[in-house]
Amino acid sequence: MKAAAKPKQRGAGGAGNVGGVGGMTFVPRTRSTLEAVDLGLSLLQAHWKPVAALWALQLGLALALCLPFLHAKPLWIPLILWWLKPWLDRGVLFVLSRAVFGQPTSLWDALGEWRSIHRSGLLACLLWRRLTPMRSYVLPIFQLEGLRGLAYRQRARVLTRQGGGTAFLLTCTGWILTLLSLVGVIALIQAMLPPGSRLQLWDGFGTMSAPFQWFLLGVVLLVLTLTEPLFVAGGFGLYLNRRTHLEGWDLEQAFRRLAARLSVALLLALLALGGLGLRAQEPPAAAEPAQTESAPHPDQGPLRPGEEARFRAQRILKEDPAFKRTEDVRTLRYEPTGREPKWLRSFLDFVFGKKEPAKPTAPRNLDFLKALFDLLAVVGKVLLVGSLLAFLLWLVYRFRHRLGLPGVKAQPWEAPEAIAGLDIRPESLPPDVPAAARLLFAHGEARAALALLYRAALAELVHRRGLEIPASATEGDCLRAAGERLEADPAATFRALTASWLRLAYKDERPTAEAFEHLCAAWPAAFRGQS
Amino acid sequence: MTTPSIPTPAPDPGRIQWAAEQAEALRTEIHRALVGQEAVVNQVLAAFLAGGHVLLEGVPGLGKTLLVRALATTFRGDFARIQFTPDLMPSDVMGHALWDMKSEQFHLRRGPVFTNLLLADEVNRAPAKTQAALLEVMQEQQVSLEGRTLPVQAPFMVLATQNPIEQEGTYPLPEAQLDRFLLKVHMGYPEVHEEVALVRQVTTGTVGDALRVDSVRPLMDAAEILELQALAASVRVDDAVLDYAVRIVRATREWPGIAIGAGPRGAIALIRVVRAHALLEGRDFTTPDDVKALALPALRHRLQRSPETEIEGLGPDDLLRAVLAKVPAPRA
Repeated sequence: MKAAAKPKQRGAGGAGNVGGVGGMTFVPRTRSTLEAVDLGLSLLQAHWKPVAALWALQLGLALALCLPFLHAKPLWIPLILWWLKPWLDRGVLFVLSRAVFGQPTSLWDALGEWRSIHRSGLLACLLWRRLTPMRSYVLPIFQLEGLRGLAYRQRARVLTRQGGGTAFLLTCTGWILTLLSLVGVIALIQAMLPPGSRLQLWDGFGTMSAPFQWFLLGVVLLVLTLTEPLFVAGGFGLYLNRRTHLEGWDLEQAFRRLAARLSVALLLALLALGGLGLRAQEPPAAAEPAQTESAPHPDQGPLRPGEEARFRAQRILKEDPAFKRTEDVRTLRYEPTGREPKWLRSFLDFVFGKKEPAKPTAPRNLDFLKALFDLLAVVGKVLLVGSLLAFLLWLVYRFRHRLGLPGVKAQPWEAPEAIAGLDIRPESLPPDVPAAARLLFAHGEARAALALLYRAALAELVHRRGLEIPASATEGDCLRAAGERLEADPAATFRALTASWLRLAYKDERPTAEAFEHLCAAWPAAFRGQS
Repeated sequence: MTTPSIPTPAPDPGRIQWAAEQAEALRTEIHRALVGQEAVVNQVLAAFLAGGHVLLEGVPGLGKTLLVRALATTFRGDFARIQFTPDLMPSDVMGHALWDMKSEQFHLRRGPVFTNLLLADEVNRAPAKTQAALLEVMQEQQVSLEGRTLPVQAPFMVLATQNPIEQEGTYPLPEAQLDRFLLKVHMGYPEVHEEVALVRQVTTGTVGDALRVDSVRPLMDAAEILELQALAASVRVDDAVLDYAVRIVRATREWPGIAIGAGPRGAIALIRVVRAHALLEGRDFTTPDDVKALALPALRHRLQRSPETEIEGLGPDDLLRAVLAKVPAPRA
């Protein structure tokens, strides 16, 4: 029991002087459940030899007990062995639980602990708990913590709250692995046997010959040996992880590393803190025994991990001289004499953290501060409201044309310098437009002449008559805009001018001299109001 | 003025005059049956003369079928109408081969596309496969049936209608297919006086729902329509006008609020329909005003609005108007 119970002691107590979490061969940290299974498998990998030895011993024992009775019916033996698996598992778990703390296990150790290994809950495991779906996960509760009955159920409930699903999956995986291995090994061996071999006797399940039955037994033994320790190790890994999680083994180890670097006093203070912290985590039901002075020693019987931790912490606090030690601490303190200058006093007060006694002037200072903050609040409010107003004003200004406010023009209008690519600035025009146009026409530059007439007409319309013609206006747009503003005669002249211009510009058709002369003659009256 | 870079044979002024008269007569005849909707009639005629297809959008009952039937009557053309439904198959549109038990032979049954004017009613109600079949005919002007290539009759024009309401259970035409329509024409409600005249005209002496196009007289034949189309294609387009159209199309691609602007096909369509429009106006040359007048129907279905614009509720027409207001008109 001593060795098997070690994880419980180390994990629960945490303050033991010998071993403890510090002696663990694995790094306690919170792992994911699958990682925890892997941890168990690594443990098995590192200690497979003692596991195999103990396994062989137990298996041999079982066979020795079965064979005298069942040598005529060897197929019963695999069934019995399958049923006895919880018992076989205990040897594996024993070796692994010692391996966690780096203790090697020999067959003699196992024989020495034989009774404690198999004592707790073996009957339950073999009978009504034989088919529990998380067998390998809860096995340590029986074997290492020695809990039974109600205590076991409560403990199992706590443990399986996390990792229970993985433990179930692990059990399923164990079944599937065992089944596949059985079929695989049988098929492999059958396939490799030469035809006519004595073992080639497979006629179906009903008519298995005796040699085949022995062969089957051998295969079952092999497969059980290969798969069962993996299953147990996986469950144990889950168990270790869950306890690391529940009892903060990782934190404890971190404290220990810290302690190795710090002074003894600090170490003890931290340990005490750790003990207190663990106490605080305990359920209230466990608080009752703590008040009694005659706390049972953990070795006197199985204890729940929380209780044991508390007992150990109490014992240490009581017995360890480190908690009895008193220490004189001397520090410098400044006591004002009243003779030093004021600046020195305030400096020393600052250095030694001395506070001035509350003076009656303090409320006045607060009043000043309050006034300051009131002022700031008012300024802030003014700024906020002001910026909001400014924003609103800006919005109104920005969209003034869309709001349709009285007195605001629908669109800001600036006369363009060019319409349809024609320069219509007044300064670009000659004073006597028809004369200049006639001159150009006479020189054969009909296009320039008509362009001058047309753009001069546009310039007159835009600058004298205030016609709003954007740069994107086509000739048709100009004509429409002018038609709304001009009287009948000038409108007709502009229409004729536009038509001539369009034919010249887009069809390259020169106006006749008569038509051009007619336009020139009508131009001053139409656009400058001259006759 | 530089010489135009597109050498087009100058159409005979006499023919232009004749074309203008014919176009005017066409309009008049159509208006005998269809009251109002002058812009729609103009745009449909322009697309017809440009050899393109039209996507008509409008609520039901505005006289879309009447318009197409009247147009078909004017040139003694064939008219077919397909009501697109979700179970319409491509063979219902194109035609199919049928096994004749008596003669023991396959007989080719031509579908309704073999006509001059095809009204594809509610084209967005049919699944993509059928839409694609129709759009292929529109593009290729021919149908492949049982390994034979059969050209559709010329002139051929498809007027597809879309209902802007009731979008439930429809298959909206993808942008790439919308691009194949020359124009997208919006058909709105008529004016009050137009509606009064329309109701009077439709109800006087008519029993039942039948559409009356018997007042429309045939004016010409298909060959003359083809000649009109050839004339439209020869209308002169000045470099400046071409440049203006291209600048408008290019501006749609960089315009804020337009996610995807019109492609080169947009400018091509615009210029095609601008030529026809000039012919309808009795001119043998195009002006920037033609471009401006037709930019909306030629480009509105080729734009994809950005999400912000859609949220603001701005339609493609609003965006295009803004583009037109910013793009400087030509004449350098």
